[in-house]
Amino acid sequence: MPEITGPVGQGVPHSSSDDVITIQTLLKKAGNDPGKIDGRCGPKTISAIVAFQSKFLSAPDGRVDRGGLTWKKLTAEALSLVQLPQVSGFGYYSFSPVTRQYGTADTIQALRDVAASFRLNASQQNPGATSVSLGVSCTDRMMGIGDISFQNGGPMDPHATHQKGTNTDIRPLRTDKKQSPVSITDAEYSSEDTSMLVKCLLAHKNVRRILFNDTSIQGVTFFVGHHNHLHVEMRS
Amino acid sequence: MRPPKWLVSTLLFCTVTMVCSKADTPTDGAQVSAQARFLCKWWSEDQMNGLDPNHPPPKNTEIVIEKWDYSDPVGTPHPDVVDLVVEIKNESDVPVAALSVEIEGQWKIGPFAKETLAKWGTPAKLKSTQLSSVASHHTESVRVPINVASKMAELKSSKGWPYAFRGKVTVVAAGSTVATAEHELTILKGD
Repeated sequence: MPEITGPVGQGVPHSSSDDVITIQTLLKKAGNDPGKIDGRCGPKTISAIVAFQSKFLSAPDGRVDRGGLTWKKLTAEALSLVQLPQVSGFGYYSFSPVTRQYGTADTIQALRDVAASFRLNASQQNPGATSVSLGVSCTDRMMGIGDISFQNGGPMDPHATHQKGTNTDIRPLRTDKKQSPVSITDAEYSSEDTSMLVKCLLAHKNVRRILFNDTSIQGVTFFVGHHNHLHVEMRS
Repeated sequence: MRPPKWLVSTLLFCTVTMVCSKADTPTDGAQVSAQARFLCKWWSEDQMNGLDPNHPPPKNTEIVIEKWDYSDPVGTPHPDVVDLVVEIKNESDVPVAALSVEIEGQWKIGPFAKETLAKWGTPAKLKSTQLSSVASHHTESVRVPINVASKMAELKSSKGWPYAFRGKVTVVAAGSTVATAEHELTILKGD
């Protein structure tokens, strides 16, 4: 999540050039051209702020305050989070409400890529489990996807993270193939299938780190509380 | 070998004291025990399998909850309200009468970002009730709802978090405490 240290825009005598660059970058992402991104808050930058504010303010003031409404709208729009498609038969299922399944375009794409890769690997390992539904080949091993972020990002209680669409909770796999919760200490936990899922995740270029407490699986990082879900951090 | 005189005197004093305490209770010879635990309504194992998170079924299975935990939105219970359930059992062969039950609650609160700074607050009285009589080897229960969600909402503006809740029960008969119990509910925040 981008940050600024102070106000930027109309009537602000001195803003740090870093803050101005942040605002200019966000304005550009939101479709309001501030001109050259140079860290100088000139008339073009102020006009872009006013143009952006006119979408939701009746009296735009051309100024962005840290933590203020314009800042919140700007960061939310710049994040432009997209919803995880709520479909079945593509190697994953959702176990969180749709309102909590928004991610960056890269994150959503990565989840879909990994689900497809996992489906393929699972069907190759156990061809007998493959079925065809609505013309789509799938296996009975599915990746369970939980919380990602809210549509506009920001705090997602009771999580400390999950604020900008790049963190996702994923369920470990079960031996009985049920779409149910499972912990690594449960008899139904499948270390073998979860290991395959981890390999698929780590093979994706956008996956940065996986917090999970079955340390017999290579590539995961132990972190307190991660016995029943994989916390997957994406790069973007 | 004869026991030393001081030991005989001490044993005699203890016996007399115990008899006096018993004589003060309303029902002579009665023994009362208390237990506290937390219960809540949650989904059953069958309901969890393939549960549609956008159209979830009603939570109608009562479970014992040891920790409030959001780590799996479906699998780990994190209800808005948990019930502190206190059970008072008459362990003796005679009925026991006129029991006063005092229930207190206490939150452990700290900054969301730093659990090590969390501290227990002052205990608050939650419920005070009288049990007119408990039959021999019978159990009476008293239930107090604890609204975890509203406590979280109350602390949100100050960026605080309730890390635990402690329920405590004291059972009093004829001015004397005859049983106590307490139980803690850990409240885990997510990553």
